[in-house]
Order: sequence, then structure tokens, then C-alpha cells
Amino acid sequence: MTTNIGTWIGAICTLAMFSFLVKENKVFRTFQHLYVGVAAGYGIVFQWNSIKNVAWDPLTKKGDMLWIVPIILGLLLFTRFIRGYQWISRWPLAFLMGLGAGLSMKAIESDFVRQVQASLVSLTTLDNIIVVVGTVTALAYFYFTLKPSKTLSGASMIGRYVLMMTFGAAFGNAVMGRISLLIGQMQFLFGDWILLIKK
Amino acid sequence: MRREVPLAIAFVTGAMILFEYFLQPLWKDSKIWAQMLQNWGTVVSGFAMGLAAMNLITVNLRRMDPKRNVEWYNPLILLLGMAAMAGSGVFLGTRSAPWQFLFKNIFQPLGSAMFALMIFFIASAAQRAFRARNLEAVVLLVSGIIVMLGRAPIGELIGLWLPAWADWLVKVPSLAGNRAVMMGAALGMVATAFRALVGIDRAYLGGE
Amino acid sequence: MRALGNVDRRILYVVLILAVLYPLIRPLGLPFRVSDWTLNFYKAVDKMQAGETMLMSIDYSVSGGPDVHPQAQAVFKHALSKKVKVVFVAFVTEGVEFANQMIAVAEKDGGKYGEDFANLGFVPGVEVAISAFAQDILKVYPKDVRGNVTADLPIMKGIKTAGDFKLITEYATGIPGPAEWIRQVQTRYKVPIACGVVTVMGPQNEPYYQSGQIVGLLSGLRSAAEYEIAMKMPGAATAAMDAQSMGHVAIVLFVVLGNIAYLSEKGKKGGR
Repeated sequence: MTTNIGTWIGAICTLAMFSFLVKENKVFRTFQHLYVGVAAGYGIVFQWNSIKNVAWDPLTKKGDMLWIVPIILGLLLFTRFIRGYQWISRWPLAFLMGLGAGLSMKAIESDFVRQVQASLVSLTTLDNIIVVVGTVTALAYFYFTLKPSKTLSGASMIGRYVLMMTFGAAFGNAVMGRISLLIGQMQFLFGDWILLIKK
Repeated sequence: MRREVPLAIAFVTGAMILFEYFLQPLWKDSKIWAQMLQNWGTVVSGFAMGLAAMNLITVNLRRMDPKRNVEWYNPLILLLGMAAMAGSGVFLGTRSAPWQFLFKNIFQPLGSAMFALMIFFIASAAQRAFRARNLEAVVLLVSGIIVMLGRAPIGELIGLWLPAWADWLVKVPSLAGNRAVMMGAALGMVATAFRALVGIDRAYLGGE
Repeated sequence: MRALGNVDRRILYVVLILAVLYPLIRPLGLPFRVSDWTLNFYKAVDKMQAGETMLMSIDYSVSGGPDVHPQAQAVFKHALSKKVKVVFVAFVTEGVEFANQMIAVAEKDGGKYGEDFANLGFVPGVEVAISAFAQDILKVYPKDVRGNVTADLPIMKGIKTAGDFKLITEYATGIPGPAEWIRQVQTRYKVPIACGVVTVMGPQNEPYYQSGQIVGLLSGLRSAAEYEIAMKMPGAATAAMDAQSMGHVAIVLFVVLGNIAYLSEKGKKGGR
């Protein structure tokens, strides 16, 4: 076993989390709280550094007065905690909402137009036919606003099977991904801590 | 006023971003304004993260009452962990030994272990709940098994047809399904964004 | 038969742990091939010339670290071997420290911070931050994580917008991910983007790969192992592949056993 104190602490943290597999217990809950606290503290540091570098230093050291606007907007978010003044926090929220909405509209180009273009393939191979038919029928499955006709119902049924294959592949990949996380934990516990796995 | 001003802010901001991207040649300075708004957005987002931290602090300070909460020490540990991590990062710097120690030996192991637990729940669900009840379930299960075995080296040991089938599943029917989901989600995203911009959807304003 | 469908979950957990652990201690050496997703990602990096600059956006959290970090490590190693300069950014807080870990190893091997690589740090805002960064890097990152003025770093010479990078690579566990980078960067600047994602996101991003919006795709630990094989430098990811195989076999076994029990119970009820 390693003599590195940091690795021992990491191993204790890992085993505390894994104790949940036996049953939910006080140790797990305590370490869960520790994780939430440390994660929040971690985030605070980088968000503080970012505000300081991007807005505060240019405002105070270079005299770039425009940066006072986002700083004030950001501080207005905290009016959520002041009774009677919560309505003021809507302004920065609306600002972020407007930004997000404006930027997300580009999805029409990247996620719709380009995908339609990519679907316009020559129907000379079976795979291409399956891709095009599969895309159209899967889209038909999500069409709930038209009165169901025989054609739409038939297309929708084919679409369901296409989606089942899609979700099956997603499930297979989800399992793969989670096994990778378990492998990482095993490599840490039995490799770095107990030193059973040779590097 | 309490609702109209935020709606106007959302509209003007969003419209400026859209104008700059689609119609910039009509007004060359729109690029400067759009960039400025986005830079401001990063600063306001930083404060939003601080809002979440403040909320966490106020909730856990209340929970630290031994009369109301048997496990009152848990919120205390949460706040101490937050203080240790934030304090070492802000006052000593992110290259300091205490910060590196906390990240490498507490934050990273706890986070990785917490999410690694999910495979055990998947394993338990796989054994108890993933049943071939109908043809659709059979299609889903068979696709999942082909991808699981085909994408691992064991698939090549079983037979070269298995990874070939797994590749085909991902590149043909799964591509079709994912493309349909992507296109549908894009239309939904644009519709929701439009509704938010013109003020039809006001859920983000909250009550009152 | 009913018991087969209702095995104590703790037995399942022990079987799964043993299935994953045994090949880590005693490797089986199962061979595997490199997929075209990984090969095209590899070729995109390999095509770069010495002195050109690549962006690595480390957007994964500790939750997906073991799945995605090996990918970033392999690509960084490849870039350094070709004397390609690498600029790190992060739009997820944990990405900063993952980048610092990779830089620490590279500095020990003789790399020079500020010339061969640099870490600009984290900016909050997710998609807003990516869009702002793409249009004016120096405004969004006036300083790097070490407190240096970004504009003064030798590696940032001539780099003002995302379009000035020769190749952008992004590594994600969720949001922000390939979708955000394609929307905000690729649609505007047409710079080649290659993405590394957690395994579950692989098929979701196949439409972007097939349409040419991304030039390469790494999906989970398997792709990291494939990248190591492509580089002819097998490492930790390659060593983990046997464990991956056995883990999958265990899960498939659980599904099959559960369904055998279910179908035989169904058969008995149907028979009566």
C-alpha cells in the first residue's frame, strides 16, 4: 500500500461514496455534503477570478467605465434575497435570457439546415435509403399536431423502431461510459492505493 | 413597469445578437455592440454562479440547528469544505499546495466515485427491469447488446461481424434517429427562443 | 428460475467489480482496431505543421473525467510530439485543473509555458462565453491562469479570434459540447473542429460527423485507447480495454439472465 497521505484521503473518500452500495448511511451522507461544499468552493474561485480579470481590473486600473454596467447588473441578481425588491433581479435574468435566446437561434443553421443538407444523399445504396427513410419516419413519430392518417401512422410506426435502435445504441454506449468510470476508480484504488495493478 | 422593462431588455439584447449575425452588413457597428453585450454576459453569468453559492450558504446555515436537524454536522462540513476550497483558491492562489491537495485528493475522488456508482444501478436495473416484453423492447435490447459487445475488444474475439454490426447500428439507424431528434430539438429551441424574445413566454420572470 | 430474475443486487455488484478488476491485474491482451472516428481525429492533428496553433477546450467535469481525460492527454501528447502549440481554455470550472495537470507533465518533459502551451483559464457563461471568446479572445481572457497578460504570451501572437486557430479540439461531458461549439464557432469561422466526448454522447454527435461539421470524433475511453494505438504509444487507456470488455460481458449476462427468468415465468403462466 502507498504511504502517500493524499492518496489515502482520496481512497477514504472513494470508499465512503461506495458505501452507498451496501446501504444508505451516515458516512455517505457526510461525504456527500463535503463534495457539494468543495464543488461550490471550487466554482467560487474561478468565477471570482473571471469577474476580477474581465471587468473589475479594467474598470479600476484602466478606467474603462462601461464595465460598471455588467457589474451592477450582476449585483442586482442578489436582490432576490431582499424582501420587497426581488422584482429587480428580473433585469439581469432578462439580459441573460435575451443573450441565450439570440445565440441559440443559430441552431436553425447548424442543427436543422445543415442536417437537412446532409440527409440529401443519393438513394443508390441501402444504407442511404435507410438513413433517409429513418430520419423522415422518426420525425413523423414526433408529429403530434396533425390528425393521424394511415400514412402518418404507418410512418410513425416505422419511426418508433428506428428510435428503439437509436435508444438501444445509446443504452449500449451509456453502459460503456459508466464502466469506464468504474475502471477509473478500480485503477485508483487497486493501482495507486493498494499497488496491486502494475503500471 | 416591473414586467415591461425586463421584457424590453430581453428583446433588445436578443435582437442585437440576431441582427449582428444575420444582417451585419446593414450596420457595421452592430458587431461592436453584440460583442460588448456578450462580454457583459460572461460577467453577469459569473455573478449568477455566486448567487447559487449564496443560496447554498443561507440554506445550510439554517439547517445547522441541532434542535431541528439530527445530522446538523453535515451542513457544517459542507460550509467548512466550501470555505477551505474557496479560501485557499482566492487567498493562496490556484497553484498553491493546499488548493492542489484539496482538488486532487478530495474533490476529484469524491466526484469520480459519485458518478461511478451509476454503473451499479445500471447493472441492477439490467438484471431486474430490462425485459423483452414486446417487439420494440426486443429491438432496443438487441441493439444495446450488439453495441455493448461490438464496441469492446471482446466483440472482435467473438467474430468480426459483431463490431461491423455495431458500427452499422451507430452509423445508419442510430444516425437517422439522432438526426431526427436533433432537427426536432432545433425547431423547438428556435420556437422557444422566439417566444422568449417577443415576450409570449414569460416564465423566467417568475410570479408577482 | 424466479430467483434468477431477482438476484441480490450486492451479488451483482461483486460480480461486476471482479469482472472489471481481474483483467486490470492480469491483462488479457485482447486486440482491437481503430475506428474511422478516431482515425480522422488523429489525421486532423497529424496534418498540422510545427509552429501552428491548436486550441484544446477542456469542458469536462470530474464526473466524466476518467472517460474523457485520457483522450485529451493522448491528443496533447500527439500535438507536442509534432511541435504544435496548444492553447487551453475551459468553459467548465474543472477544466482548468485538468489542463494544469497535463501542462505540469509537459513542463517536466521540457516544454515551455507561454511558448509551447498556455492555459487561459475559465470563463463563466457557457454558450455566451464561447461566442464572446470566439469573437475577441483577448477581451474575454485578458490574463491567463498564471496571471500573465494574455496578449504578451508568445503563443498568442497573431491569435485574436477563434478563426485564427488551425484546429479546434473540444472535450466534453455534457454542456457545453460539440453543439455549442458548432453553433457559435464553426458556423461563423468555418475552422475545423474535432470533438472528444463521453461514450454516451458518441452516437448523438454522429450527425455532426456525418455532415462534416466536425472532422473527427472521440467517444469515451475506447477512443482514447484507439488514439494511443494510432500513435503507436499504448498507455493507460489501452490497458483498460480488457476490463471494459469483461464489464460489458457482465452486464450482458445480467440482461440475458433476467430475460431468461422473465420468459420462463411468462411461459409457465401461459401454459397454465
